[in-house]
Amino acid sequence: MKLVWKAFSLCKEGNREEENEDAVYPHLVNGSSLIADQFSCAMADGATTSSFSKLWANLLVKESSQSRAASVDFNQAIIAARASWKAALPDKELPWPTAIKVRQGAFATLMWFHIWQKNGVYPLNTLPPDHGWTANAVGDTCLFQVVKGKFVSTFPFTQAKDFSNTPDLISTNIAYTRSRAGSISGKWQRGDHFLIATDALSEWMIRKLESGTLTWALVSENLTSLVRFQTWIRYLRRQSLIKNDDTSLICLTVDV
Amino acid sequence: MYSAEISRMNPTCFLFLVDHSTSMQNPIMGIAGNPKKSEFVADALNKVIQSLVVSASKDMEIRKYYQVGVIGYGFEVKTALGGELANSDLVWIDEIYENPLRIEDRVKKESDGVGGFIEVSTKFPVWVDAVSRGQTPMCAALNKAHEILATWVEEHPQSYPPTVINLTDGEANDGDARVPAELIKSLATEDGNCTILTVHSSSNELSRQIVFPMDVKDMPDHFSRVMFEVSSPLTPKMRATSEELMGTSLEEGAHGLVYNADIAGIVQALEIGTRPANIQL
Repeated sequence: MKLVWKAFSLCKEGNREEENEDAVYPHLVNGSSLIADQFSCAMADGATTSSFSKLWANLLVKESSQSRAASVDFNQAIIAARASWKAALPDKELPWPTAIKVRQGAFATLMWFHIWQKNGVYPLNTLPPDHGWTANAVGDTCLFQVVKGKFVSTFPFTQAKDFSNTPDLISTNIAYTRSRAGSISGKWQRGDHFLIATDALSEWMIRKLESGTLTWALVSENLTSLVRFQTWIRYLRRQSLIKNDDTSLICLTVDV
Repeated sequence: MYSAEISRMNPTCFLFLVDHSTSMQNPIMGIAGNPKKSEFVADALNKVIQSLVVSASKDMEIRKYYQVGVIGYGFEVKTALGGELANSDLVWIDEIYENPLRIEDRVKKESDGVGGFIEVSTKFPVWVDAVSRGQTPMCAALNKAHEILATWVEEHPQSYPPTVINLTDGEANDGDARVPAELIKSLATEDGNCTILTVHSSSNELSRQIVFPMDVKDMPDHFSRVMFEVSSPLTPKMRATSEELMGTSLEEGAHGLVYNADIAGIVQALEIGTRPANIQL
């Protein structure tokens, strides 16, 4: 199986790029070709209201993407990320407001995507055993499958009205229980594209799908370079077509 | 309206007006053993300011999401913030964090996770002290608030509009408070008009607490009707927060007034008024 990887991001207007709280894993060069029996990637969107959301989002994507064992388990990845959390915090006394925020917890969405071919490793209880893919998600970071140039499925959200300012999130604080995880599996064929996008862009894409105006050409022409992607997102923001938020996209193509 | 995101580019403003009249030294609801109104209000205000500092905290910094002012009115009408902050009517939230009057060691009860409570020592920053001396020049305080906010809305045309929270136990004795209140409520950003919430604490055990009334006819007397008319209708976000805290839904038109507030009423009203309006997830 040959995969072509692209990933782009643009921070919220008014923020500095280092404040971008979207996280993607792995970190690969755009246009990289990968030949593998299986591959995992993940995207997370750290919540603005919590502290160290970027750190938490990065732990979540790293732990979930690295779960390549046959027993790969979404919840195990979250537990592993929580186990790494305290050690990842700054190694000095925190100011009192920061300490309170840390006790309240850091929050992020998570989308984990895994694809495999025959002989590849895939999660237990997931079908089909070859040429398959599966995704697990908490929150409003969405996955889109494009088959033969047509958007055929979205996950976990399917309607623009599903988006709100209070998505489900995964927290470092285990007392927080609004973390309903959804999962989906399917088959792939050569030439398919899988897109993963944080909420601002996902909402726009689903709205365009609802109006029947989302085409693969419209999206793909803006994925030729980081500059092109960022110009596109800035244009959509200026036109008030998407909200001003950190915006990220992964495009994974099963190469022909 | 009332949907602008609060950010460093578009901060918002919270202005607290605190009654410092002599009657504020009476216990809440007039019940011996209850805390003095002035002390309880100062404590509640310090907790609210602490919550604002925490909500503006991001990683290791305090972001300039809010400007905050506290105007005391009693024997004088002036900022109730002290120390380094005493010369400004409005102070950025990061400067507030850096300049408490003092940090007290207090003990609070926390759940032990198995059904009981444990006492935990905690740091309590204090920015305002209790004061109860003089009359109730509420009109002068509202006029000062109008003067401060007229400049603020001009400088922040795209921001979530300022919220004024007036904590009092009595009637203005320097005129009709509705006149300066109307001036404040007429100030606006592109996102809506300034809002005024009134938290009236009672000195009478038998007084009935009236929470976010819908109609001026719900009010028992002339003074309470004036307080109703001074206060703004709650914004949709404030109504949603009050529903979350109190478990009862409020219709559009419910006014930002808690009349004869008891201890819980004061705390809830402050939280409803200051819960950050729309920091995006």
